[in-house]
Amino acid sequence: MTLALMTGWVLLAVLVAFAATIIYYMWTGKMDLRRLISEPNGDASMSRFQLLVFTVVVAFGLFLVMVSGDTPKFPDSIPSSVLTLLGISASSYVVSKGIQLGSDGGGTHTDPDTGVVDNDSTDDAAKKKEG
Amino acid sequence: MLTAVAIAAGWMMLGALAVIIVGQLLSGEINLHGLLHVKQRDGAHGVPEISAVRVQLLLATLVTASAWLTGVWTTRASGTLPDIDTRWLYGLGASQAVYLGRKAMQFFPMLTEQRQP
Repeated sequence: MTLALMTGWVLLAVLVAFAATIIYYMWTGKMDLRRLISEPNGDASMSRFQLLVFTVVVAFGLFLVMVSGDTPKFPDSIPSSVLTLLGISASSYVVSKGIQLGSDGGGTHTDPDTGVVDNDSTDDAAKKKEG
Repeated sequence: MLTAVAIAAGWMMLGALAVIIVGQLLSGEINLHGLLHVKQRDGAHGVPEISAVRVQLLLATLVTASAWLTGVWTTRASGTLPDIDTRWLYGLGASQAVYLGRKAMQFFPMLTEQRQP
Protein backbone atom coordinates (compact mmCIF):
# COMPACT_ATOMS: atom_id res chain seq x y z
CA MET A 1 0.00 0.00 0.00
CA THR A 2 1.49 3.29 -1.01
CA LEU A 3 1.89 6.19 1.36
CA ALA A 4 -0.61 8.29 -0.61
CA LEU A 5 -3.27 5.62 -0.35
CA MET A 6 -2.68 5.17 3.38
CA THR A 7 -2.90 8.93 3.88
CA GLY A 8 -6.17 8.93 1.96
CA TRP A 9 -7.67 6.24 4.19
CA VAL A 10 -6.52 8.01 7.36
CA LEU A 11 -7.93 11.35 6.17
CA LEU A 12 -11.20 9.70 5.22
CA ALA A 13 -11.44 8.03 8.64
CA VAL A 14 -10.79 11.31 10.43
CA LEU A 15 -13.34 13.20 8.32
CA VAL A 16 -15.98 10.49 8.74
CA ALA A 17 -15.40 10.39 12.50
CA PHE A 18 -15.69 14.19 12.66
CA ALA A 19 -18.88 14.27 10.57
CA ALA A 20 -20.41 11.30 12.41
CA THR A 21 -19.79 12.99 15.76
CA ILE A 22 -21.54 16.17 14.61
CA ILE A 23 -24.48 14.20 13.21
CA TYR A 24 -24.73 12.12 16.40
CA TYR A 25 -24.80 15.28 18.51
CA MET A 26 -27.48 16.78 16.27
CA TRP A 27 -29.54 13.58 16.36
CA THR A 28 -29.41 13.24 20.14
CA GLY A 29 -30.04 16.93 20.75
CA LYS A 30 -26.68 17.59 22.37
CA MET A 31 -26.16 20.10 19.58
CA ASP A 32 -29.25 22.24 19.97
CA LEU A 33 -30.72 23.31 16.62
CA ARG A 34 -33.97 24.73 17.98
CA ARG A 35 -32.88 28.32 17.44
CA LEU A 36 -30.89 27.69 14.27
CA ILE A 37 -32.92 30.27 12.37
CA SER A 38 -34.39 32.23 15.27
CA GLU A 39 -34.06 35.89 16.07
CA PRO A 40 -33.30 37.08 19.63
CA ASN A 41 -37.04 37.50 20.33
CA GLY A 42 -37.71 33.84 19.48
CA ASP A 43 -39.36 34.33 16.08
CA ALA A 44 -37.88 32.64 13.02
CA SER A 45 -35.67 34.83 10.89
CA MET A 46 -36.21 34.96 7.13
CA SER A 47 -32.58 36.05 6.53
CA ARG A 48 -31.20 33.10 8.48
CA PHE A 49 -33.59 30.72 6.75
CA GLN A 50 -32.51 32.00 3.35
CA LEU A 51 -28.84 31.68 4.25
CA LEU A 52 -29.48 28.11 5.42
CA VAL A 53 -31.30 27.21 2.17
CA PHE A 54 -28.60 28.62 -0.10
CA THR A 55 -25.75 27.10 1.92
CA VAL A 56 -27.32 23.64 1.84
CA VAL A 57 -28.25 23.91 -1.85
CA VAL A 58 -24.78 25.08 -2.93
CA ALA A 59 -23.05 22.43 -0.78
CA PHE A 60 -25.28 19.70 -2.23
CA GLY A 61 -24.75 20.97 -5.79
CA LEU A 62 -20.99 21.11 -5.33
CA PHE A 63 -20.85 17.55 -3.97
CA LEU A 64 -23.12 16.29 -6.77
CA VAL A 65 -20.89 17.85 -9.44
CA MET A 66 -17.73 16.54 -7.76
CA VAL A 67 -18.87 12.91 -7.73
CA SER A 68 -20.77 12.82 -11.05
CA GLY A 69 -17.79 12.96 -13.38
CA ASP A 70 -15.72 10.01 -14.56
CA THR A 71 -13.14 10.73 -11.87
CA PRO A 72 -14.25 12.67 -8.79
CA LYS A 73 -12.60 16.07 -8.64
CA PHE A 74 -13.20 19.54 -7.34
CA PRO A 75 -14.51 21.90 -10.08
CA ASP A 76 -11.84 24.05 -11.70
CA SER A 77 -13.64 27.21 -10.67
CA ILE A 78 -16.66 28.35 -8.70
CA PRO A 79 -18.79 30.61 -10.94
CA SER A 80 -18.89 34.21 -9.77
CA SER A 81 -22.70 34.16 -9.98
CA VAL A 82 -22.83 31.43 -7.31
CA LEU A 83 -20.55 33.47 -5.06
CA THR A 84 -22.75 36.52 -5.75
CA LEU A 85 -25.81 34.53 -4.72
CA LEU A 86 -24.22 33.57 -1.41
CA GLY A 87 -22.95 37.14 -1.02
CA ILE A 88 -26.42 38.63 -1.52
CA SER A 89 -27.84 36.27 1.07
CA ALA A 90 -25.07 36.77 3.64
CA SER A 91 -24.97 40.56 3.25
CA SER A 92 -28.76 40.69 3.55
CA TYR A 93 -28.43 38.79 6.84
CA VAL A 94 -25.83 41.26 8.12
CA VAL A 95 -27.88 44.31 7.08
CA SER A 96 -30.96 42.78 8.67
CA LYS A 97 -29.08 42.29 11.94
CA GLY A 98 -27.81 45.87 11.72
CA ILE A 99 -31.35 47.20 11.31
CA GLN A 100 -32.57 45.18 14.28
CA LEU A 101 -29.70 46.08 16.59
CA GLY A 102 -29.83 49.72 15.55
CA SER A 103 -33.45 50.09 16.60
CA ASP A 104 -34.73 50.57 20.14
CA GLY A 105 -36.10 47.06 20.62
CA GLY A 106 -33.32 45.30 18.76
CA GLY A 107 -31.77 43.60 21.76
CA THR A 108 -34.96 42.00 23.01
CA HIS A 109 -34.37 38.37 23.87
CA THR A 110 -36.96 35.66 24.45
CA ASP A 111 -36.23 32.41 26.23
CA PRO A 112 -37.19 29.58 23.85
CA ASP A 113 -38.43 27.33 26.67
CA THR A 114 -40.40 29.73 28.82
CA GLY A 115 -41.25 32.44 26.28
CA VAL A 116 -40.19 35.04 28.84
CA VAL A 117 -39.10 38.29 27.20
CA ASP A 118 -35.86 39.75 28.50
CA ASN A 119 -35.65 43.40 27.53
CA ASP A 120 -31.99 43.64 28.48
CA SER A 121 -29.95 43.41 25.31
CA THR A 122 -26.64 41.60 25.60
CA ASP A 123 -24.87 44.96 25.36
CA ASP A 124 -26.95 46.42 28.18
CA ALA A 125 -26.35 43.36 30.32
CA ALA A 126 -22.62 43.61 29.70
CA LYS A 127 -22.63 47.29 30.68
CA LYS A 128 -24.50 46.49 33.89
CA LYS A 129 -21.95 43.84 34.79
CA GLU A 130 -19.14 46.26 34.13
CA GLY A 131 -20.89 48.92 36.22
CA MET B 1 -11.85 1.37 -3.57
CA LEU B 2 -10.93 4.45 -1.50
CA THR B 3 -12.80 6.70 -3.93
CA ALA B 4 -15.94 4.57 -3.82
CA VAL B 5 -15.91 4.46 -0.01
CA ALA B 6 -15.32 8.23 0.19
CA ILE B 7 -18.24 8.95 -2.15
CA ALA B 8 -20.52 6.56 -0.26
CA ALA B 9 -19.52 8.15 3.05
CA GLY B 10 -20.14 11.61 1.61
CA TRP B 11 -23.64 10.67 0.44
CA MET B 12 -24.42 9.07 3.80
CA MET B 13 -23.28 12.12 5.75
CA LEU B 14 -25.12 14.56 3.48
CA GLY B 15 -28.22 12.37 3.62
CA ALA B 16 -28.11 12.16 7.41
CA LEU B 17 -27.65 15.92 7.68
CA ALA B 18 -30.57 16.53 5.32
CA VAL B 19 -32.81 14.09 7.21
CA ILE B 20 -32.01 15.71 10.55
CA ILE B 21 -32.47 19.32 9.41
CA VAL B 22 -35.54 18.75 7.22
CA GLY B 23 -37.04 16.42 9.85
CA GLN B 24 -36.58 18.99 12.59
CA LEU B 25 -37.95 21.76 10.37
CA LEU B 26 -41.06 19.70 9.58
CA SER B 27 -41.59 18.49 13.14
CA GLY B 28 -41.27 22.02 14.47
CA GLU B 29 -38.24 21.22 16.58
CA ILE B 30 -36.33 23.90 14.68
CA ASN B 31 -38.39 26.95 15.41
CA LEU B 32 -40.23 28.31 12.35
CA HIS B 33 -42.74 30.33 14.34
CA GLY B 34 -43.29 33.76 12.88
CA LEU B 35 -41.24 33.16 9.74
CA LEU B 36 -43.90 34.78 7.57
CA HIS B 37 -45.44 37.07 10.18
CA VAL B 38 -45.16 40.82 10.44
CA LYS B 39 -42.63 41.56 13.17
CA GLN B 40 -43.23 44.05 15.95
CA ARG B 41 -40.55 46.66 16.46
CA ASP B 42 -40.27 45.98 20.18
CA GLY B 43 -40.12 42.21 19.70
CA ALA B 44 -43.58 41.70 21.18
CA HIS B 45 -45.80 38.94 19.80
CA GLY B 46 -48.95 40.62 18.53
CA VAL B 47 -51.76 39.19 16.47
CA PRO B 48 -50.11 37.06 13.73
CA GLU B 49 -50.39 38.76 10.36
CA ILE B 50 -48.89 37.31 7.19
CA SER B 51 -46.31 39.63 5.67
CA ALA B 52 -46.45 39.88 1.87
CA VAL B 53 -42.83 41.06 1.83
CA ARG B 54 -41.65 37.92 3.63
CA VAL B 55 -43.77 35.66 1.44
CA GLN B 56 -42.27 37.13 -1.74
CA LEU B 57 -38.74 36.74 -0.35
CA LEU B 58 -39.44 33.11 0.57
CA LEU B 59 -40.78 32.43 -2.94
CA ALA B 60 -37.82 34.20 -4.57
CA THR B 61 -35.42 32.14 -2.44
CA LEU B 62 -37.07 28.80 -3.21
CA VAL B 63 -37.46 29.54 -6.94
CA THR B 64 -33.83 30.70 -7.31
CA ALA B 65 -32.51 27.69 -5.39
CA SER B 66 -34.67 25.30 -7.44
CA ALA B 67 -33.60 26.89 -10.74
CA TRP B 68 -29.92 26.55 -9.88
CA LEU B 69 -30.32 22.98 -8.61
CA THR B 70 -32.06 22.06 -11.87
CA GLY B 71 -29.06 23.47 -13.74
CA VAL B 72 -26.69 21.47 -11.54
CA TRP B 73 -28.65 18.27 -12.21
CA THR B 74 -28.62 18.70 -15.99
CA THR B 75 -24.91 19.62 -16.24
CA ARG B 76 -23.56 17.46 -13.41
CA ALA B 77 -21.54 15.17 -15.68
CA SER B 78 -19.51 18.10 -17.04
CA GLY B 79 -17.69 18.50 -13.72
CA THR B 80 -18.39 22.24 -13.54
CA LEU B 81 -20.90 24.21 -11.54
CA PRO B 82 -23.46 26.00 -13.73
CA ASP B 83 -23.79 29.77 -13.76
CA ILE B 84 -26.89 31.40 -12.35
CA ASP B 85 -28.76 33.46 -14.91
CA THR B 86 -28.25 37.15 -14.13
CA ARG B 87 -32.01 37.66 -14.28
CA TRP B 88 -32.41 35.36 -11.26
CA LEU B 89 -29.76 37.35 -9.39
CA TYR B 90 -31.43 40.66 -10.24
CA GLY B 91 -34.77 39.26 -9.16
CA LEU B 92 -33.39 37.99 -5.88
CA GLY B 93 -31.55 41.27 -5.27
CA ALA B 94 -34.74 43.25 -5.86
CA SER B 95 -36.64 40.93 -3.56
CA GLN B 96 -34.01 41.39 -0.84
CA ALA B 97 -34.09 45.16 -1.29
CA VAL B 98 -37.87 45.22 -0.82
CA TYR B 99 -37.56 43.05 2.30
CA LEU B 100 -34.78 45.11 3.85
CA GLY B 101 -36.42 48.40 2.89
CA ARG B 102 -39.67 47.34 4.55
CA LYS B 103 -37.78 46.18 7.61
CA ALA B 104 -35.87 49.46 7.88
CA MET B 105 -39.11 51.44 7.62
CA GLN B 106 -40.67 49.26 10.30
CA PHE B 107 -37.76 49.44 12.75
CA PHE B 108 -36.95 53.11 12.11
CA PRO B 109 -40.33 54.86 11.92
CA MET B 110 -38.63 58.25 11.59
CA LEU B 111 -37.81 57.26 7.99
CA THR B 112 -41.47 57.43 7.07
CA GLU B 113 -42.57 60.25 9.39
CA GLN B 114 -43.26 63.55 7.70
CA ARG B 115 -41.17 66.40 9.03
CA GLN B 116 -43.00 69.36 10.49
CA PRO B 117 -42.10 72.70 8.89
